[in-house]
Amino acid sequence: MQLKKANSIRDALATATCSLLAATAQQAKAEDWKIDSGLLSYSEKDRISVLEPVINGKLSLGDDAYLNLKFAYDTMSGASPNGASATDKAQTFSSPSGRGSYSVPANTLPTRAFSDQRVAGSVDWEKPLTRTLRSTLGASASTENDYSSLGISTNFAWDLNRKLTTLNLGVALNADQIAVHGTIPTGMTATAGLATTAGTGNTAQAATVTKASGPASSSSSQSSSSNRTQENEVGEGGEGPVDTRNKNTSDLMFGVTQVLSRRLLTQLNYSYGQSSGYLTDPYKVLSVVDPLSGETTGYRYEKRPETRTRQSLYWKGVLHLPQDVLHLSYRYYWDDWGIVSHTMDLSYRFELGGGFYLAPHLRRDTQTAADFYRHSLVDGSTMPQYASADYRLAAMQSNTYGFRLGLVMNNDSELGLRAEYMQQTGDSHPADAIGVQRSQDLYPGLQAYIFSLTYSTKF
Amino acid sequence: MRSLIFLSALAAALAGCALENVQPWDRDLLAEQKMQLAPVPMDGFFNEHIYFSKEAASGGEGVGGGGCGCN
Repeated sequence: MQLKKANSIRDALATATCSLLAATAQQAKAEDWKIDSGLLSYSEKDRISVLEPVINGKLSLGDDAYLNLKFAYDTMSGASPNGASATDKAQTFSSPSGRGSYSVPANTLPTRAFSDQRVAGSVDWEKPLTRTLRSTLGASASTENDYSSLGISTNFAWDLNRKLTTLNLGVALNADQIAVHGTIPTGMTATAGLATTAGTGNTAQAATVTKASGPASSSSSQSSSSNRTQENEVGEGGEGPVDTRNKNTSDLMFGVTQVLSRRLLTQLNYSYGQSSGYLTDPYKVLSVVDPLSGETTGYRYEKRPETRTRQSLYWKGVLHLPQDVLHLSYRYYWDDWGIVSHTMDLSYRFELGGGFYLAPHLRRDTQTAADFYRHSLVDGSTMPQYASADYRLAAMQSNTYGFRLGLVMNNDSELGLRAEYMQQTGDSHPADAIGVQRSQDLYPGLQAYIFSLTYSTKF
Repeated sequence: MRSLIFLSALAAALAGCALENVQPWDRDLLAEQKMQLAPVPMDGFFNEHIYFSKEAASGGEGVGGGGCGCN
């Protein structure tokens, strides 16, 4: 009898334990995966369009460990400025391989048509090492027609002061390779077989995309097959021998996150990064102009230094008001290319009720030019060791305005739509413009529309 | 290097004297998704991609992630 009672207690305990375990397992299963998905549509006026679907899955491994998997696929197409200045005559350019050429009409920003796809994936493994120390190990890879990248990273987060303070340390290494069909040009050398031509520039091989960017835009329209042929010759996705160059990047970040009150959180990061290898853009050139008339007499391939050291200080504050939340950040960036930038980012989330929120967003970036930035080179003068007319290395200001409309649903799901407008402006009429250059826009700027749709859920 | 020393000193100072002694049971607001440093990680990912390819400056918020031929 006693034995039977003991057995029944044991059975009861076993049943209870199993039920508890099952309940725990079920509970864990209920939040095993957190899925974040998004679709980005980025389109510049008259230039590049990008469509990028991304999916991110975070799997709970138990014991506060997680596996994070991300996959992204970008399709990019359109026209990218090739570095040359607009002038009052039509212009013809050859591809890096020298086998193809394309033309742009007079008084039009020279752009080069391109299309590319990028596949990128990453995996991160997050794991607590002790009660207060967490580590994340990551690996990433991406490939495009003419570019591939492999990266590894590690991050440590150390909680102090009863988890009110967290120290963060991150290290990342990237090994990238650029692969061009044809020959990667030698920087600062004259481009082969180029000439400015009188007339509309509507040559048989013209394949520029300059829709609505100039008065002669209609004459530049070409069939898509023509574009593709030219594109293959330029080197992205073409056939034939491939010329490669390597680029290595290492990044280090040290930061502190601090809870200042029940409603206020702040973060301060210092980052240091170094790149070395081929940092030049093989598709970009500079116009060489006559010292008196300012007329284009030829082109040279751009050349950037083989190393770059970047540093930044980043501060962020998050403030919880009675209902709404304010996010404010500022980044001070400087590098040994002579670029200094100030970036401010502000978003304010209004709670609209019923799970809806609206978050207006403002971002402003101001940067100085790289030491070797030139809008063009002057014929007959001593050529600099390095030079680039890449508009992204010029002194400029970039402003973004927009909002995000979100809906938080009961089961930890969130749907969001973001709509933004970005505008970049620079010095369109620099003081050192010569002759006919004075009547051209030497910094045409950029306008872009950014839309993103995001959905996140747990299951 | 000087910045690193400065940041280390600042971190140590902050660790020693938080402004308010927030108790674990008072962290309800801090735990909300909208109070996270990256409240919408996917939009943060998109922004990083866009501004990396359109401006000279990059980084600051963290390290790691894939490279891109866009810059």
